[in-house]
Amino acid sequence: MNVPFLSFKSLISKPLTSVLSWLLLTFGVCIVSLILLVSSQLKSEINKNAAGIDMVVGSKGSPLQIILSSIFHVDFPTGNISLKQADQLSKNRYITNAVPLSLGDSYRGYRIVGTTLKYAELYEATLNKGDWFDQDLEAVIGADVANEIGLSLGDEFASQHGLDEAGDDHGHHDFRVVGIMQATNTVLDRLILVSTKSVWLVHEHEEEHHTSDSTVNLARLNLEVTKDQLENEAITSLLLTYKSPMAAVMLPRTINSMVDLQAASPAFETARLFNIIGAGVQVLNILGVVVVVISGISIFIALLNSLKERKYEIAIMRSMGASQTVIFLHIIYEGLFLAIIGAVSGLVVAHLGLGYLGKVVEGMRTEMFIFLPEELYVMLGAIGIGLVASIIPAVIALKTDISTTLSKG
Amino acid sequence: MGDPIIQYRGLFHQYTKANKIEFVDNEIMSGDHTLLLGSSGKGKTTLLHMFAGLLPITHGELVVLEKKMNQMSSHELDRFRGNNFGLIFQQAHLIKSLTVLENLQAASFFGKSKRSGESLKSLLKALDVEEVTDKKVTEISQGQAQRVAIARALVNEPKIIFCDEPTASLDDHSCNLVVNLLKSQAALCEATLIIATHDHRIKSEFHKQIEL
Repeated sequence: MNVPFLSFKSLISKPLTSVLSWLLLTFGVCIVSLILLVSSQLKSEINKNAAGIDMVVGSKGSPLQIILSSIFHVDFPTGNISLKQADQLSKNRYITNAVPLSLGDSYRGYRIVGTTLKYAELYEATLNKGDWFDQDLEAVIGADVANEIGLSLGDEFASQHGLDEAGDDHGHHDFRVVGIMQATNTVLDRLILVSTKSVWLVHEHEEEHHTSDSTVNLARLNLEVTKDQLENEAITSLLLTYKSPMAAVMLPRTINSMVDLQAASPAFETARLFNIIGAGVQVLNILGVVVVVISGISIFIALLNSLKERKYEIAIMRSMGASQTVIFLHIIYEGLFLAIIGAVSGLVVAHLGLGYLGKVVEGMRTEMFIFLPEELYVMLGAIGIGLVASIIPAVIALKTDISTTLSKG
Repeated sequence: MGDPIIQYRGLFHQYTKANKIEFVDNEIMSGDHTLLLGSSGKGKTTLLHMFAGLLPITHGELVVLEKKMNQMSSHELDRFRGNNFGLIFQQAHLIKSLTVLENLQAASFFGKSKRSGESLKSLLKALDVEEVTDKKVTEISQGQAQRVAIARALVNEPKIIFCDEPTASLDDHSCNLVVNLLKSQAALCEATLIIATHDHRIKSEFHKQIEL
């Protein structure tokens, strides 16, 4: 027998009120921590995926859309840019690195990206099994793709046109898996990488005629193409790395003045995105804090109400030798227990919710078991509110006049 | 009869300016079970609460078990009460969120007597309520509750057992039972009973009576 046990027993003897306070607190803590977790993970996700990419060039359209489709692989691409323009741009003196992307195809919901090995280098990807693609129609798949649809080395699959599972198969050309990448915890894990030329190949029309043309080497793009291809083929976008900060000033102007091209800065566009959702996040955050405070009030009212009934019990406890300190702690522990289990369960629900979000929201990868230092503050805050809520009832309880109460019994 | 366990001189309690209750000096000897008699408003409960250290002594002098009651700090008084007194009231007033056994354990905890579960169970057995040991107090009858309350008062092996109208809500049969129980249990732990009552049925049971 000890004081916490008494408090615990008292809590479970009035399950409805206790559960109400507990639920409110769980809900409030869950909202606040979920927002913290989602925005922190979203930011780190964005930073990881956009690392090393200073600018994305696509065809004219929304810059945000270009960023979303070419870096995070969530939205649809804006259109194509000609290989010739891409090649010209890649020779710009402000650029050190240019990675071509050809998007638009998928396999069972996983996006196929026609690119060069430079793309994998951006994310410092390494191979778990097999080799990098070298020939046409060879594919290297991300760790999640391998795990979730069970593709393994040597498997063949036909790409589908479009980015959802309903697209038509490109029946004539099957890709063969030659390599599986290690998990990088970036968007790469959910992609299927093939060579740029493979994408052109599967989209080639029957009537197109091949002449064994002389090849040209597009050094900055790491591509070797025929003259015919240079004239006629297109890619979706180009990921650029700047040579110097000056590029940030000079390049966008140059690019945007070109009729077909649109420059998009990942840093700028993601900041813009956060601004757009920031107001909503703020409102949710306030809501969460309000719910936590309301749960504090509900703990306060529940304790205060219970004192009316328990006045006699408290007087009896005192008559049996319980000191005022014991009575004070008895009430405080009650509020504290509720606050602690509410805070803990709120945190657990937030992390479960985060895991669930990661599963259902396209393009969002969440880590359920990452805990932030801020979460500790949320918990301490919630527990503090529980404590504050129980102080007044506890003081009232310790001041119970034993004699008066008992003689009214 | 042994030494005096309670002595008081010039004791009175001032509820309001107009309402003052004075008590004639008296003393109670160890083992001398005593009834405090008198109609309502005469101060039976007041005197009992003063003896038990529930009501501060503002006027006069009260010595209980050789301690001057008005010289003890609130904390000392709590310890003193827990160690030496058992209290029984008209209503059992057990702690509702606990089982019968847990109520006794709580009493032992508050009085710091650290009695084992086994010895508390044997106490319940002695009072013939062992069958409700693990029941919630809301599930037992009033008669059982009263016995459990008596058991609770005995947990810390008190030197004095204070009872405030312990039989007022009982029928004749139960009244007899409770009085016998109180006497036999008091004898077992060598405690002195001090009973505030206006119940005529128990007057004949105790020869030492203080009329207020």
